[in-house]
Amino acid sequence: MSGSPKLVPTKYDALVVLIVLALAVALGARYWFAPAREAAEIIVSIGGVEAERLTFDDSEYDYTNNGYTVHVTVRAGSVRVDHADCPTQDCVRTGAISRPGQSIVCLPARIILTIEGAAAPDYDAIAG
Amino acid sequence: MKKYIFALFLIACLALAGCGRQPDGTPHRRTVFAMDTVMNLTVYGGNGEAALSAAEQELYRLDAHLARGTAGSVVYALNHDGTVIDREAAALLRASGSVAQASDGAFDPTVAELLDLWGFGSGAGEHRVPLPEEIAAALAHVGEKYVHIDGEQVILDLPAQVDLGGVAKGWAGERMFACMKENGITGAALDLGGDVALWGGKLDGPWRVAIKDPADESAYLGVLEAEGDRFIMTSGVYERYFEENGVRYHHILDPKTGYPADSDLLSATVICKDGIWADALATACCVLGADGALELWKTAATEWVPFDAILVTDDGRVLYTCDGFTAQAEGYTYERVA
Ligand SMILES: [Zn+2]
Repeated sequence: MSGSPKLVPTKYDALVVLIVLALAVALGARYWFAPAREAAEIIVSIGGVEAERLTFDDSEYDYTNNGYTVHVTVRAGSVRVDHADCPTQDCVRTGAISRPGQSIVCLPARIILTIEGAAAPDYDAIAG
Repeated sequence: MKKYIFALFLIACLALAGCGRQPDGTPHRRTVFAMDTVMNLTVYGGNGEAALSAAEQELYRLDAHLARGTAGSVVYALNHDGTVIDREAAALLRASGSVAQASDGAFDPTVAELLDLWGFGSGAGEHRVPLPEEIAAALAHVGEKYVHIDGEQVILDLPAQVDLGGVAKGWAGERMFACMKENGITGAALDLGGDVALWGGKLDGPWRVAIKDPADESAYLGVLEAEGDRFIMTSGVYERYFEENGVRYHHILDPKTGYPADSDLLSATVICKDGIWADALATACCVLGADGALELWKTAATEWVPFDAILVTDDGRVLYTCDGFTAQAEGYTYERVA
């Protein structure tokens, strides 16, 4: 009984404890603060690749790809393509979108504007 | 020493817990522009990037091979020469013919000329209401009976014109499955532009597919929980249409009248293990209307290819034939059909 080794904390023990605590705090922080950080954003995808993320602050942007230019206006929580020089004009006709999951597609320019909400979607795909 | 190992183990546990990884690992995703639409492919497990690259190339190949307006495509050749030898075209037209028979002509692959008349063809044609005599003239060449298939050879009685747009996405889905299989993919949700092909499974439960509300494109009717190896194909009058003198003309043409289908359905979603059938049946159901679609649902189960359907009527009813569908939208009455 008396021969059991003494458990005297060393500075290495303290270091390990600190590392574990720091990691726990970092991971916890990421978990707790993530929802607050992710307000709805507009994802601009060009040629199938995410090119930019826009906030819902009033502003205007021009994007050119595949020989066509779309003019994007963000106003009062919504986003629209005002005008574009593409032949189909589907992007302009879509009008303004404002809800998560909605998107505007310009097929000729291969540009997609999608509103991403704070919460991840609870489905794998959309049919229709 | 042991306590340091234990501490490292603790760190590893925390790190892993914090990652929130899905059991299948991180999915690989790709956006592909093909068949006049945007496709979003998501794959789990296996050789993700290789599967996506194979899938993308296959979609481009199919696009070039099956597009009616593309000189050099097999459909272009068939419509001009009246005959081709092509295994893929023969298989697609054979299946199209079967759906035409099963649906009593509500689906027909020879509506190409009609589509062009209305401006719903592959090119960026002008939308207009054709003259009755133009429609009558085009209708004379519409009919599955004008297509003859012998092995890999297809013979078309010109001037009948074929369009494979009604089955192309369904077949593309089937071809995607081959790409998934070859690359060891364990699960994939393949959105082919509103038409969904589900390959394999997920470890955390069934696939969940949101079904669009035909009256509000940003809302969902509900969510369908589905197994893998299924195709979920939708046809809807809201997808493409134009207005002339205050009348709305949609793109789902009735091969019997030559006019947009005068049906009580706004949209039809078909769930089926066969991609080509799923694609063509969705169109057929829209043309047939609710009663006809449900009749087809019954006969197909025993005589053709079994399928399930979610039908939305113009008086606010959602009729569905399968379990696993959870209603979400308000303003509809939901009826489970047995
Ligand atoms: Zn555009």
